[in-house]
Amino acid sequence: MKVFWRQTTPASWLQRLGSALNVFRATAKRLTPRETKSTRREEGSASLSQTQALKIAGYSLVLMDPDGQVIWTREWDSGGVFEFGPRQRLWVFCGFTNHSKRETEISEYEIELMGEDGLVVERFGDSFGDSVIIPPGESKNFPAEWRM
Amino acid sequence: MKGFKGNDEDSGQGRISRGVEVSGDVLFADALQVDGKVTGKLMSESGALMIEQTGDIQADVDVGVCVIRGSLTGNVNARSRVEIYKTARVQGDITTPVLLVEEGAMLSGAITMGKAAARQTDAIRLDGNEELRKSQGAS
Repeated sequence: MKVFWRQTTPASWLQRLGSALNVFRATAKRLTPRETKSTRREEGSASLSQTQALKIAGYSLVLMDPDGQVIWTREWDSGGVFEFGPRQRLWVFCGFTNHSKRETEISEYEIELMGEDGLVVERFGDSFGDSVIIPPGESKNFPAEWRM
Repeated sequence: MKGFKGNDEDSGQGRISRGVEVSGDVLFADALQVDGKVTGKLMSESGALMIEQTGDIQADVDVGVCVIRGSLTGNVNARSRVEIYKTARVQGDITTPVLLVEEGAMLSGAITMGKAAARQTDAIRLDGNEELRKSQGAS
């Protein structure tokens, strides 16, 4: 009884509680995922998870109608291969001019970055709350932004 | 100095070395590296202009590709792309379809889409001196 009493003094319980809390904190720290730069995301821009530089050789614009059907696409050369790496931001502006005789209705678009092999290495997509109507002869610019 | 062309006719590469100052219109074909100083105008139909860290350009630039690591005061029109790295100091408006900016670069001016699109309706406006600090974004 004397021993038991000695082990259960308030000071002893506080010591045990402190140890248990330390164990809990250490376990929680291991289990909680750290915030990485790839999880950060700013409105209107896409964060890339890659830490290695991407080699970009071109880009393309894909326009879609309200049914999600691709109605127009075009590729551009970036003027030679360039690298897009960490701590850099990249803006790509694509333009579309409606050369048809009818209105064009666009509800979403994608801008794709392509590597040297012509394969898509990154994609930016955005949609409009209401479809955008582009009358014949009119143009519209579509921007995309990435950060790594 | 009008009608300036690259000093290496075979490769089409030109260079304005450190300590060299060129005043006037500079026309080049494929590529021009600037380590010195240029005042006036720099032009190329589809060539690449590389302004290195010691480079100091006080001129309007009209090229295919513009890579900036040094100082540039003037407007840039690039038909393909513009790359601005962290050592760059740019004062002027930029017109290009593709813009790459590294954190730490100093950029003051308006950015508009390339002339390939009929109208420049969408523009990013950088008010005053916007420094893309290292503390911003990915850390």
